[in-house]
Amino acid sequence: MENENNTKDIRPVFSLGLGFLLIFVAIGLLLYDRFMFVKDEVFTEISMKLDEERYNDDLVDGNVDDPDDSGEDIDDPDESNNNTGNNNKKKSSGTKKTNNYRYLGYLTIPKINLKTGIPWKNSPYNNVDYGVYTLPMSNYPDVKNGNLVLASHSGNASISYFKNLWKLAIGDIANVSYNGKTYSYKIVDIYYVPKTGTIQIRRSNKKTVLTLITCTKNSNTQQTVYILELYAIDGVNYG
Amino acid sequence: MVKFIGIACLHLYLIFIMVLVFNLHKKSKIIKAVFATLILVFVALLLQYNDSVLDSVLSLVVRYLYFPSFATFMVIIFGSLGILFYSIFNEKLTINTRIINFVFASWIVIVYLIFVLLRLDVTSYLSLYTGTSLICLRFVSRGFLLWIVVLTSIRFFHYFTSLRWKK
Repeated sequence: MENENNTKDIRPVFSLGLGFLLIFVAIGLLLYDRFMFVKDEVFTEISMKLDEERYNDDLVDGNVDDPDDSGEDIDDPDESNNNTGNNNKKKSSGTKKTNNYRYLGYLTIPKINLKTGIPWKNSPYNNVDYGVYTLPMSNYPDVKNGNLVLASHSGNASISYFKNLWKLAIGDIANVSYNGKTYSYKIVDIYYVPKTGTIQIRRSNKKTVLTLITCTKNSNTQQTVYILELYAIDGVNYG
Repeated sequence: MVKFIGIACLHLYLIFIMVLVFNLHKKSKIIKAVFATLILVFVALLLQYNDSVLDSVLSLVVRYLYFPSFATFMVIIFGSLGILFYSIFNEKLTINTRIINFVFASWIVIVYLIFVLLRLDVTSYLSLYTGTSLICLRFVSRGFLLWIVVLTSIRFFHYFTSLRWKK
């Protein structure tokens, strides 16, 4: 008889405990995706800060090295008048050091509150499964008339860095930080292409360009290409 | 129009809460339950108000778990030492709680000693968030969290069992 009473007493206590547990599990499940997204953002931010510090340390030591630099460098507009165009050559003349940075710089788009790292072309993290992907044919921002081509997922996954690109319009601005300089680009064209595995990039060969590619919102068959042209370096008008 | 509806809803909500607050002393379980639900709804609305509210909360959690700042680290160290002294001199604490406090506090202090031996530049991200120093920081922040979870679980367990005996 006593045992029966005890079982009856325990039941509400256990259901209360179980209820609490279920609430915690439900909150955890609801927040999991968002948590992973934020985690990725924080990791990217810290990686970028570490890279920045490593870069500054190397700059002090004179060991800065761009691993796969090619093409003609853009002269800084405010430096070109003083004929110091071989500034980059001076930088590279130090003892070359193996590159150990994860990102070459970072991409910021103020309108959609995006800030993410841009991996080096030869980085093991250069994959859409890690975030932003720098396409192999890309030139780095300091290459005159070059084209930096970046791709990333849209959608709701934690690695969907370009999920809000659809909100952008012609005239909106994106910045790329690279080698201690900020390259500002303006959107000049947005067009859609079918998902066939290849994309034709329509851009002026006389302009330095940033191209962003992602899947079109609410479409499984199309991709959107954003063409941005360089208009300023470190806030000083270019070209 | 939307703004007006928003303000009207806010006023209704405030009136509803005031009615509940003034009736709290009546010991009605329904009023207490409704009050608790309203608070939960309010928190949920606050989180839904803007993605950035939830994101900044989650960002704080991620930073605490993976990249705790040096300030957080020092607060935890001093907090642990405080709890350690409290456990030594407070005779009302149960032996289980004391043992748990001693174990976690000494764990945190040992990690702190290792951290001190590293002689780091605490203003630099590179020295703080690479190698052994990062492991130390994570050990301390997660250890402290585990400590709180263990103590809270014991507290909950006692609360639930006391409910049982009261019946």
